[in-house]
Amino acid sequence: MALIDAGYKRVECLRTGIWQRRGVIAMNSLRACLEVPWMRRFVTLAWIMCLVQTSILFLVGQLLVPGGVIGDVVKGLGGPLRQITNGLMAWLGANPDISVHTIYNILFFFFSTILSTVSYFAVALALPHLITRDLSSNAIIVYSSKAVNRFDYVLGKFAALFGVLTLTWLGPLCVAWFLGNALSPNWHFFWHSRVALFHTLIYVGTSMVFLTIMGLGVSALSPKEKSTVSVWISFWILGGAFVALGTISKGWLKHFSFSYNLEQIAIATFDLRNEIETAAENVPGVKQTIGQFLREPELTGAIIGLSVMAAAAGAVVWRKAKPE
Amino acid sequence: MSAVIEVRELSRWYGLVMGLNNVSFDIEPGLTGLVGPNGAGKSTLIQVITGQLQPSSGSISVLGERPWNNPNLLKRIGYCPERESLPSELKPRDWLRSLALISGVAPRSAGAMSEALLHRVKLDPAHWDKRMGQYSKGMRQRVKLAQALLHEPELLILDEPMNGLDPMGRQEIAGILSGLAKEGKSILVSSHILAELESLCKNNLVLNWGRVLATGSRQDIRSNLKSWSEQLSVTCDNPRKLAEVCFRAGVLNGFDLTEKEDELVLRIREPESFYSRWTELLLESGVTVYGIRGQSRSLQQIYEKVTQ
Repeated sequence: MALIDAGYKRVECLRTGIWQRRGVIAMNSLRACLEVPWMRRFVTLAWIMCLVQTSILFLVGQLLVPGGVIGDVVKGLGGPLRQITNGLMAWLGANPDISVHTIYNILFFFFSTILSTVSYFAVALALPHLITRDLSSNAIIVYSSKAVNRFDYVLGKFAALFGVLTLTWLGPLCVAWFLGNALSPNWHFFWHSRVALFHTLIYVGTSMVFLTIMGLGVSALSPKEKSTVSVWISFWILGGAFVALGTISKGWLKHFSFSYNLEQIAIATFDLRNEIETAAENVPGVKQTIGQFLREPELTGAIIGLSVMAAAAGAVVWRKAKPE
Repeated sequence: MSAVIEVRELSRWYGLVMGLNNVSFDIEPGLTGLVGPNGAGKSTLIQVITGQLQPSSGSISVLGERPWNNPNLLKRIGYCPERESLPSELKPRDWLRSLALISGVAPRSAGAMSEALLHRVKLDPAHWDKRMGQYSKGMRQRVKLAQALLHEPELLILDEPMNGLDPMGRQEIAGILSGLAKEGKSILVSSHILAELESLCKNNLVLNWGRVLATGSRQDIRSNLKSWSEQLSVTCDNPRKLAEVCFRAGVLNGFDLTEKEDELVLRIREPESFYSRWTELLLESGVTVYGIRGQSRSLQQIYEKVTQ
């Protein structure tokens, strides 16, 4: 007698909707990405950056408000350190526009661009687990025979990579904004720092959409994992070479670099030119140290460059992410 | 009985190469075999049926719906591809659970359903926690079959499901398919192992060079091949005499005298007219008959004949 009942057991079950099915594709891919040890290291690094940013926001908050922790500490200090700190606090208090608006904007710009580099590495690590492995194992044939069409499949993969980038980029920034304000001595900081958050959401959100589409395109290029990762890294490095080339010859060459294009979007979104000009009028030395951002961002070229790259990537995905 | 698949003047080109050439046929409910040599168009046909390829011209209706870009129809079809299609880094239970969820099964039922199917395809539970990259071909075939059955489809399309299975495994899978057919599922199964299809399938569809060469039951196909003679092996005391009488009567395409002295193989021209005169011819020859054995055509012989 058989130990197990090998008969066909009909399991009565409720049927789920298309969004849940797309969600399953996304979660499976996201889980596969996060199983990569190096991916977990990059995610950890992003969240360490989140803690660093939170700490800086905490310190800035304490500096800006009389009676904050820093103020108390300063009272216990002696000599020139106390004078410098008191002077800085007095100056910040006298220039609230710069102290709140500009400092938060610059800080979020700075951490957004640092985390963008972490995210480019994360995309490289995620690529094999998106479309590449489904092509190499032919699992895409099985997926395409289920009750999801190509659009659902691609949307699921898009959500997976977007999820990875949320963990390495947007998530840490938003959490840092919330924690930094929650730890500040005054609840008004939530209101005063809203512009910095808005800029972060616009810049990082837009960049994540472009980056995800480009990542999917590279992932669908080949069924070989090494090939797709190499193409991504080459795409990134060659972009840097084009920027160098564009500086000495034709300027439009710089727009072959997706990282340069994204940086232009960041400068335009955070409106650093205006922020730095305001700061430079009040703080000596600012113009000399961060004067590079006074250049007008090449937004049109950046958007055209990224759109062309995204369109090419979309065409690759549509052409290759199918069983035929 | 209405057809589960209706194909009319269907063609599919790959650039200048024709995968399917103006084919028309119906596939009735039950088990149907799809037979043809490599390059015959079997996989193209299966991909068109499962909505993975768009026909270049003509029409196809599967369970009353057009398959191209129709996920609603895919809910009713199970597909087991010929190619290796399992992610090697996953365990079968996890993969089947994901596919069940993608197919719309509720999360609380997906796990139980996956395990039931792994039992169903007789994959030893000792292997369930291994990654599929470590599996033998036969084990992978079973998982592929399980994923096709996941969402309890009305129509199963199986592309070479016996590939890589040992004889016992083939018998088990054949048993599963027969059981599913008895439960009322329609199954289209392609295979190069024609002997298995012969015993398994009620109907067959023979393809070659993108064209349908024959369709229907084995008997239908055989009766349609009028130019192809039946064979009858006769053991008697005077084979030459019997051969002479039959040949003169004009009912044979030919005959063979075998190595055995008393055996004769008659290649019959038209079975109906031959058998209507057979007793008369025996009496006329005056031979003493020891035995008569009909050599009915196997599917293999039919297949070889029609794909020549």
